Amino acid sequence: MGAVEVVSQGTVTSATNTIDFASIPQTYKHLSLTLSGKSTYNDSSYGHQDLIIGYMNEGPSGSSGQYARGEVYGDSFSGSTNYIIKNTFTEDRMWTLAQIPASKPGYYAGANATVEIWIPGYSNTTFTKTLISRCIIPSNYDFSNGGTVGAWQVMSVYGRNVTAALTRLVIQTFAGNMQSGFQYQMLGYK
Amino acid sequence: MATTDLISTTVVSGSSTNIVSLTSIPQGYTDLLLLAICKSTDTSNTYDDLDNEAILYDTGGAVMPIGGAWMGQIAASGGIVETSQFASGYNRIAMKTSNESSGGIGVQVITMRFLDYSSTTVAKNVHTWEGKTSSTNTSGTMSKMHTGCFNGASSNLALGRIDFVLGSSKYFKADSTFSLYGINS
Repeated sequence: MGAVEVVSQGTVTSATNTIDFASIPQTYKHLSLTLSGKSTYNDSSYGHQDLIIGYMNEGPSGSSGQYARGEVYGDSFSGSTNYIIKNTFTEDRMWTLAQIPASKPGYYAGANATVEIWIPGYSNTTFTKTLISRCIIPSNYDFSNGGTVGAWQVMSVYGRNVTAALTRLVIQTFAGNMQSGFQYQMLGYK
Repeated sequence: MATTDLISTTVVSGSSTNIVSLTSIPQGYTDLLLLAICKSTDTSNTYDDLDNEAILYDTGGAVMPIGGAWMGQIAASGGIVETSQFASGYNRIAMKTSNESSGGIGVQVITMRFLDYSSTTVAKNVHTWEGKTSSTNTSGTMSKMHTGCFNGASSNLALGRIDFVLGSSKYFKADSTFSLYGINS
Protein backbone atom coordinates (compact mmCIF):
# COMPACT_ATOMS: atom_id res chain seq x y z
CA MET A 1 0.00 0.00 0.00
CA GLY A 2 2.92 2.39 -0.48
CA ALA A 3 2.95 4.87 2.38
CA VAL A 4 0.51 2.90 4.50
CA GLU A 5 1.27 -0.34 6.33
CA VAL A 6 -0.64 -2.62 8.66
CA VAL A 7 0.61 -2.27 12.23
CA SER A 8 -1.81 -4.74 13.75
CA GLN A 9 -5.01 -6.45 12.72
CA GLY A 10 -7.11 -9.33 13.87
CA THR A 11 -10.44 -10.79 14.80
CA VAL A 12 -11.55 -11.62 18.33
CA THR A 13 -12.15 -15.38 18.48
CA SER A 14 -13.42 -15.63 22.05
CA ALA A 15 -15.12 -12.91 24.04
CA THR A 16 -12.68 -10.44 25.60
CA ASN A 17 -13.02 -7.02 27.13
CA THR A 18 -9.57 -5.66 26.18
CA ILE A 19 -7.38 -5.21 23.11
CA ASP A 20 -3.91 -4.00 24.02
CA PHE A 21 -1.78 -2.49 21.27
CA ALA A 22 1.25 -2.80 23.50
CA SER A 23 4.28 -2.09 21.34
CA ILE A 24 3.33 0.39 18.66
CA PRO A 25 6.32 0.90 16.33
CA GLN A 26 7.65 4.44 16.00
CA THR A 27 8.38 4.25 12.30
CA TYR A 28 5.31 6.16 11.16
CA LYS A 29 4.06 9.72 11.53
CA HIS A 30 0.37 8.99 11.95
CA LEU A 31 -1.91 6.12 12.95
CA SER A 32 -5.44 5.08 12.19
CA LEU A 33 -7.52 2.40 13.86
CA THR A 34 -10.77 0.89 12.65
CA LEU A 35 -13.05 -1.37 14.69
CA SER A 36 -16.15 -3.31 13.82
CA GLY A 37 -18.24 -5.46 16.10
CA LYS A 38 -20.60 -5.67 19.03
CA SER A 39 -20.68 -6.44 22.74
CA THR A 40 -21.95 -9.32 24.84
CA TYR A 41 -23.48 -6.79 27.20
CA ASN A 42 -27.16 -7.32 27.93
CA ASP A 43 -28.80 -4.59 29.97
CA SER A 44 -32.57 -4.71 29.81
CA SER A 45 -33.04 -1.46 31.67
CA TYR A 46 -31.19 1.06 29.56
CA GLY A 47 -29.88 1.51 26.11
CA HIS A 48 -28.55 -1.91 25.27
CA GLN A 49 -25.27 -0.31 24.34
CA ASP A 50 -21.74 -0.74 25.58
CA LEU A 51 -18.91 1.76 25.54
CA ILE A 52 -15.47 1.43 24.06
CA ILE A 53 -13.15 3.30 26.41
CA GLY A 54 -9.42 3.75 26.03
CA TYR A 55 -6.03 4.59 27.49
CA MET A 56 -2.91 6.07 25.94
CA ASN A 57 0.55 5.00 27.08
CA GLU A 58 -0.77 3.19 30.12
CA GLY A 59 -2.75 0.18 31.20
CA PRO A 60 -6.48 0.10 31.86
CA SER A 61 -6.32 1.52 35.37
CA GLY A 62 -6.01 5.05 33.99
CA SER A 63 -4.52 8.20 35.47
CA SER A 64 -6.65 10.74 37.27
CA GLY A 65 -6.66 14.20 35.71
CA GLN A 66 -4.77 13.25 32.57
CA TYR A 67 -7.36 13.29 29.78
CA ALA A 68 -9.28 16.06 28.02
CA ARG A 69 -12.61 15.12 26.48
CA GLY A 70 -15.00 16.46 23.89
CA GLU A 71 -17.93 14.56 22.41
CA VAL A 72 -20.83 15.24 20.12
CA TYR A 73 -23.47 12.54 19.88
CA GLY A 74 -26.97 11.87 18.71
CA ASP A 75 -29.42 9.02 18.57
CA SER A 76 -32.40 8.18 16.41
CA PHE A 77 -34.82 7.86 19.31
CA SER A 78 -34.63 11.42 20.59
CA GLY A 79 -33.70 12.89 17.23
CA SER A 80 -31.46 15.36 18.99
CA THR A 81 -27.77 15.99 19.38
CA ASN A 82 -25.85 16.74 22.53
CA TYR A 83 -22.32 17.16 23.76
CA ILE A 84 -19.98 16.55 26.65
CA ILE A 85 -16.96 18.72 27.15
CA LYS A 86 -14.10 18.67 29.64
CA ASN A 87 -12.00 21.65 28.71
CA THR A 88 -9.26 20.87 31.15
CA PHE A 89 -7.35 17.62 31.45
CA THR A 90 -9.48 16.20 34.25
CA GLU A 91 -10.61 12.74 33.14
CA ASP A 92 -8.95 9.44 34.04
CA ARG A 93 -9.53 7.74 30.68
CA MET A 94 -11.01 8.16 27.22
CA TRP A 95 -14.63 7.55 28.10
CA THR A 96 -16.47 7.18 24.82
CA LEU A 97 -14.29 6.23 21.90
CA ALA A 98 -17.39 4.48 20.60
CA GLN A 99 -20.79 3.07 21.43
CA ILE A 100 -21.28 -0.51 20.29
CA PRO A 101 -24.51 -2.50 20.26
CA ALA A 102 -25.16 -5.06 22.95
CA SER A 103 -26.62 -8.50 22.42
CA LYS A 104 -30.13 -8.35 23.74
CA PRO A 105 -31.90 -11.22 21.97
CA GLY A 106 -34.18 -10.18 19.18
CA TYR A 107 -33.01 -6.63 18.90
CA TYR A 108 -29.58 -6.11 17.41
CA ALA A 109 -29.19 -9.06 15.09
CA GLY A 110 -26.46 -8.22 12.61
CA ALA A 111 -25.99 -4.65 13.79
CA ASN A 112 -22.30 -3.93 14.27
CA ALA A 113 -20.77 -0.63 15.23
CA THR A 114 -18.25 0.81 12.80
CA VAL A 115 -15.54 2.85 14.49
CA GLU A 116 -12.88 5.10 12.91
CA ILE A 117 -10.03 6.54 14.98
CA TRP A 118 -7.12 8.78 13.95
CA ILE A 119 -4.01 9.66 15.94
CA PRO A 120 -2.03 12.15 13.87
CA GLY A 121 1.48 12.77 15.19
CA TYR A 122 1.43 9.79 17.55
CA SER A 123 5.24 9.51 17.47
CA ASN A 124 5.78 13.23 18.00
CA THR A 125 7.49 14.08 21.31
CA THR A 126 6.76 17.84 21.35
CA PHE A 127 2.98 17.80 21.64
CA THR A 128 0.51 16.14 23.97
CA LYS A 129 -1.24 13.17 22.41
CA THR A 130 -4.61 13.76 20.77
CA LEU A 131 -7.02 11.31 19.18
CA ILE A 132 -10.27 11.74 17.24
CA SER A 133 -12.89 9.01 17.03
CA ARG A 134 -16.32 8.49 15.60
CA CYS A 135 -18.70 5.59 15.33
CA ILE A 136 -21.99 4.66 13.79
CA ILE A 137 -24.40 1.98 14.97
CA PRO A 138 -26.92 1.05 12.26
CA SER A 139 -29.28 -0.31 14.87
CA ASN A 140 -32.47 -2.19 14.12
CA TYR A 141 -33.71 -1.73 17.65
CA ASP A 142 -37.47 -2.05 18.07
CA PHE A 143 -38.58 0.95 20.11
CA SER A 144 -42.04 -0.44 20.63
CA ASN A 145 -40.59 -3.08 22.93
CA GLY A 146 -38.99 -0.63 25.30
CA GLY A 147 -35.51 0.76 25.66
CA THR A 148 -34.31 4.22 24.94
CA VAL A 149 -31.70 4.13 22.23
CA GLY A 150 -31.72 3.19 18.57
CA ALA A 151 -29.11 4.20 16.01
CA TRP A 152 -26.21 6.19 17.40
CA GLN A 153 -23.53 8.43 16.07
CA VAL A 154 -20.70 9.68 18.28
CA MET A 155 -17.82 12.00 17.37
CA SER A 156 -15.19 12.60 20.03
CA VAL A 157 -11.76 14.04 20.72
CA TYR A 158 -9.48 12.99 23.53
CA GLY A 159 -6.05 14.10 24.60
CA ARG A 160 -3.71 12.90 27.28
CA ASN A 161 -1.34 15.27 29.03
CA VAL A 162 1.84 13.48 28.03
CA THR A 163 4.29 14.46 25.31
CA ALA A 164 6.04 11.10 25.07
CA ALA A 165 5.47 9.20 21.86
CA LEU A 166 2.48 6.89 21.88
CA THR A 167 3.79 3.36 22.30
CA ARG A 168 0.69 1.76 23.75
CA LEU A 169 -3.05 2.07 23.15
CA VAL A 170 -5.54 0.03 25.16
CA ILE A 171 -9.20 -0.20 24.23
CA GLN A 172 -11.74 -1.83 26.46
CA THR A 173 -15.45 -2.49 26.72
CA PHE A 174 -16.98 -0.77 29.73
CA ALA A 175 -19.67 -3.27 30.72
CA GLY A 176 -19.45 -6.44 28.66
CA ASN A 177 -17.03 -8.16 26.31
CA MET A 178 -16.24 -7.77 22.65
CA GLN A 179 -18.04 -10.60 20.93
CA SER A 180 -16.29 -13.21 18.85
CA GLY A 181 -15.92 -11.72 15.39
CA PHE A 182 -15.02 -8.24 16.64
CA GLN A 183 -12.47 -6.91 14.13
CA TYR A 184 -9.66 -4.37 14.45
CA GLN A 185 -7.02 -2.94 12.14
CA MET A 186 -4.33 -0.38 13.00
CA LEU A 187 -2.55 1.30 10.07
CA GLY A 188 0.65 3.33 10.09
CA TYR A 189 1.15 6.28 7.72
CA LYS A 190 4.77 7.04 6.78
CA MET B 1 -6.65 -2.35 -4.44
CA ALA B 2 -6.23 1.25 -3.42
CA THR B 3 -2.69 2.52 -3.09
CA THR B 4 -1.53 5.44 -1.00
CA ASP B 5 1.64 7.45 -1.66
CA LEU B 6 3.22 10.08 0.52
CA ILE B 7 3.34 13.29 -1.53
CA SER B 8 4.96 15.56 1.04
CA THR B 9 5.53 16.13 4.73
CA THR B 10 6.03 19.65 6.06
CA VAL B 11 7.45 19.98 9.57
CA VAL B 12 7.57 23.51 10.97
CA SER B 13 10.90 24.66 12.36
CA GLY B 14 11.69 27.86 14.22
CA SER B 15 9.03 30.29 15.42
CA SER B 16 8.20 32.50 12.45
CA THR B 17 5.97 30.34 10.26
CA ASN B 18 2.60 31.99 9.77
CA ILE B 19 1.51 30.01 6.70
CA VAL B 20 2.17 26.39 5.80
CA SER B 21 1.88 25.96 2.03
CA LEU B 22 1.54 22.62 0.33
CA THR B 23 2.39 23.54 -3.25
CA SER B 24 2.69 21.86 -6.62
CA ILE B 25 0.23 19.13 -5.76
CA PRO B 26 0.57 16.36 -8.36
CA GLN B 27 -2.52 15.58 -10.42
CA GLY B 28 -2.11 11.85 -10.83
CA TYR B 29 -4.27 10.57 -7.97
CA THR B 30 -7.96 9.98 -7.43
CA ASP B 31 -8.17 11.60 -3.98
CA LEU B 32 -5.92 13.33 -1.45
CA LEU B 33 -5.60 12.73 2.30
CA LEU B 34 -4.15 15.35 4.65
CA LEU B 35 -3.09 14.42 8.19
CA ALA B 36 -1.76 17.06 10.56
CA ILE B 37 -0.90 17.85 14.15
CA CYS B 38 -0.28 21.47 15.05
CA LYS B 39 -0.64 24.36 17.46
CA SER B 40 0.34 28.01 17.72
CA THR B 41 2.93 29.73 19.90
CA ASP B 42 0.42 32.49 20.62
CA THR B 43 -0.18 33.30 24.29
CA SER B 44 -2.62 36.19 23.96
CA ASN B 45 -5.75 34.23 23.02
CA THR B 46 -7.16 33.13 26.35
CA TYR B 47 -9.98 31.17 24.71
CA ASP B 48 -7.49 28.82 23.13
CA ASP B 49 -9.38 28.74 19.85
CA LEU B 50 -7.08 30.48 17.43
CA ASP B 51 -8.17 30.57 13.79
CA ASN B 52 -6.38 28.13 11.52
CA GLU B 53 -7.90 28.43 8.06
CA ALA B 54 -7.32 26.22 5.05
CA ILE B 55 -7.28 28.11 1.76
CA LEU B 56 -7.35 26.18 -1.50
CA TYR B 57 -5.78 27.37 -4.74
CA ASP B 58 -6.47 26.05 -8.21
CA THR B 59 -3.75 25.04 -10.63
CA GLY B 60 -3.87 28.54 -12.08
CA GLY B 61 -2.96 30.05 -8.70
CA ALA B 62 -6.36 31.54 -7.85
CA VAL B 63 -8.19 31.01 -4.55
CA MET B 64 -10.97 28.44 -4.95
CA PRO B 65 -14.50 29.30 -3.72
CA ILE B 66 -15.82 26.83 -1.14
CA GLY B 67 -19.35 26.01 -0.07
CA GLY B 68 -20.39 23.59 2.62
CA ALA B 69 -21.66 22.90 6.07
CA TRP B 70 -20.24 21.86 9.39
CA MET B 71 -21.37 20.56 12.73
CA GLY B 72 -19.67 20.03 16.02
CA GLN B 73 -18.93 21.33 19.41
CA ILE B 74 -17.68 24.87 19.38
CA ALA B 75 -14.73 25.67 21.52
CA ALA B 76 -15.67 29.06 22.90
CA SER B 77 -19.42 28.62 23.32
CA GLY B 78 -19.53 24.97 24.28
CA GLY B 79 -22.48 24.18 22.06
CA ILE B 80 -23.41 22.43 18.87
CA VAL B 81 -23.75 24.46 15.73
CA GLU B 82 -24.87 23.42 12.31
CA THR B 83 -24.62 25.86 9.48
CA SER B 84 -24.24 26.14 5.78
CA GLN B 85 -21.83 28.40 4.02
CA PHE B 86 -22.43 28.80 0.36
CA ALA B 87 -22.29 32.55 0.49
CA SER B 88 -20.67 34.27 -2.43
CA GLY B 89 -17.03 34.88 -1.80
CA TYR B 90 -16.60 32.22 0.87
CA ASN B 91 -13.20 30.78 0.21
CA ARG B 92 -11.75 29.07 3.26
CA ILE B 93 -12.27 26.15 5.62
CA ALA B 94 -12.47 27.61 9.12
CA MET B 95 -10.68 25.53 11.72
CA LYS B 96 -9.34 26.26 15.17
CA THR B 97 -5.96 25.40 16.60
CA SER B 98 -4.64 25.29 20.14
CA ASN B 99 -2.16 27.80 21.53
CA GLU B 100 0.09 28.26 24.54
CA SER B 101 -2.15 30.38 26.74
CA SER B 102 -3.04 29.12 30.21
CA GLY B 103 -0.39 26.48 30.20
CA GLY B 104 -1.01 25.54 26.61
CA ILE B 105 -0.87 21.76 26.71
CA GLY B 106 -3.59 21.20 24.11
CA VAL B 107 -3.03 20.43 20.44
CA GLN B 108 -5.04 20.26 17.21
CA VAL B 109 -5.25 17.23 14.93
CA ILE B 110 -6.71 17.34 11.42
CA THR B 111 -7.82 14.87 8.78
CA MET B 112 -8.92 16.19 5.38
CA ARG B 113 -10.03 14.24 2.35
CA PHE B 114 -10.10 15.95 -1.03
CA LEU B 115 -12.26 13.85 -3.33
CA ASP B 116 -11.81 13.97 -7.09
CA TYR B 117 -9.49 16.93 -6.47
CA SER B 118 -7.92 16.79 -9.92
CA SER B 119 -11.16 16.90 -11.89
CA THR B 120 -11.34 19.61 -14.53
CA THR B 121 -14.96 18.88 -15.40
CA VAL B 122 -16.84 18.98 -12.07
CA ALA B 123 -16.67 20.68 -8.68
CA LYS B 124 -14.64 18.84 -6.04
CA ASN B 125 -15.55 17.75 -2.49
CA VAL B 126 -13.67 18.12 0.77
CA HIS B 127 -14.33 16.44 4.11
CA THR B 128 -12.58 17.89 7.13
CA TRP B 129 -12.54 16.28 10.57
CA GLU B 130 -10.65 18.05 13.31
CA GLY B 131 -10.22 17.74 17.05
CA LYS B 132 -8.58 20.06 19.54
CA THR B 133 -7.76 19.77 23.20
CA SER B 134 -7.24 22.60 25.63
CA SER B 135 -6.01 23.26 29.11
CA THR B 136 -8.09 26.38 29.71
CA ASN B 137 -11.01 26.44 32.09
CA THR B 138 -13.40 28.29 29.82
CA SER B 139 -13.16 26.71 26.41
CA GLY B 140 -10.99 25.03 23.89
CA THR B 141 -11.67 21.32 23.59
CA MET B 142 -13.48 20.79 20.33
CA SER B 143 -14.64 18.15 17.88
CA LYS B 144 -15.89 19.22 14.48
CA MET B 145 -16.62 17.96 10.98
CA HIS B 146 -16.97 20.03 7.85
CA THR B 147 -18.07 18.97 4.40
CA GLY B 148 -17.96 21.17 1.38
CA CYS B 149 -17.44 21.49 -2.31
CA PHE B 150 -14.97 23.71 -4.07
CA ASN B 151 -14.10 24.62 -7.59
CA GLY B 152 -11.75 26.71 -9.66
CA ALA B 153 -12.19 30.44 -9.39
CA SER B 154 -13.32 30.89 -12.98
CA SER B 155 -13.59 27.36 -14.37
CA ASN B 156 -13.32 23.72 -13.35
CA LEU B 157 -9.62 23.88 -12.56
CA ALA B 158 -8.05 21.23 -10.31
CA LEU B 159 -6.67 21.74 -6.81
CA GLY B 160 -3.02 22.77 -6.99
CA ARG B 161 -2.12 24.15 -3.55
CA ILE B 162 -3.34 24.10 0.06
CA ASP B 163 -2.41 26.78 2.60
CA PHE B 164 -2.92 26.63 6.37
CA VAL B 165 -3.05 30.21 7.61
CA LEU B 166 -2.98 31.57 11.15
CA GLY B 167 -4.09 35.08 12.01
CA SER B 168 -1.90 38.14 11.87
CA SER B 169 1.24 37.85 14.01
CA LYS B 170 0.36 34.28 15.00
CA TYR B 171 2.82 31.49 14.37
CA PHE B 172 2.89 27.72 14.23
CA LYS B 173 4.81 25.99 16.99
CA ALA B 174 7.89 24.10 15.85
CA ASP B 175 7.25 20.43 15.06
CA SER B 176 3.77 21.13 13.73
CA THR B 177 3.48 18.49 11.00
CA PHE B 178 1.40 18.36 7.81
CA SER B 179 1.45 15.20 5.67
CA LEU B 180 -0.22 14.98 2.28
CA TYR B 181 -1.00 11.61 0.67
CA GLY B 182 -2.23 10.68 -2.78
CA ILE B 183 -4.73 7.85 -3.07
CA ASN B 184 -5.39 5.84 -6.21
CA SER B 185 -8.60 3.86 -6.00
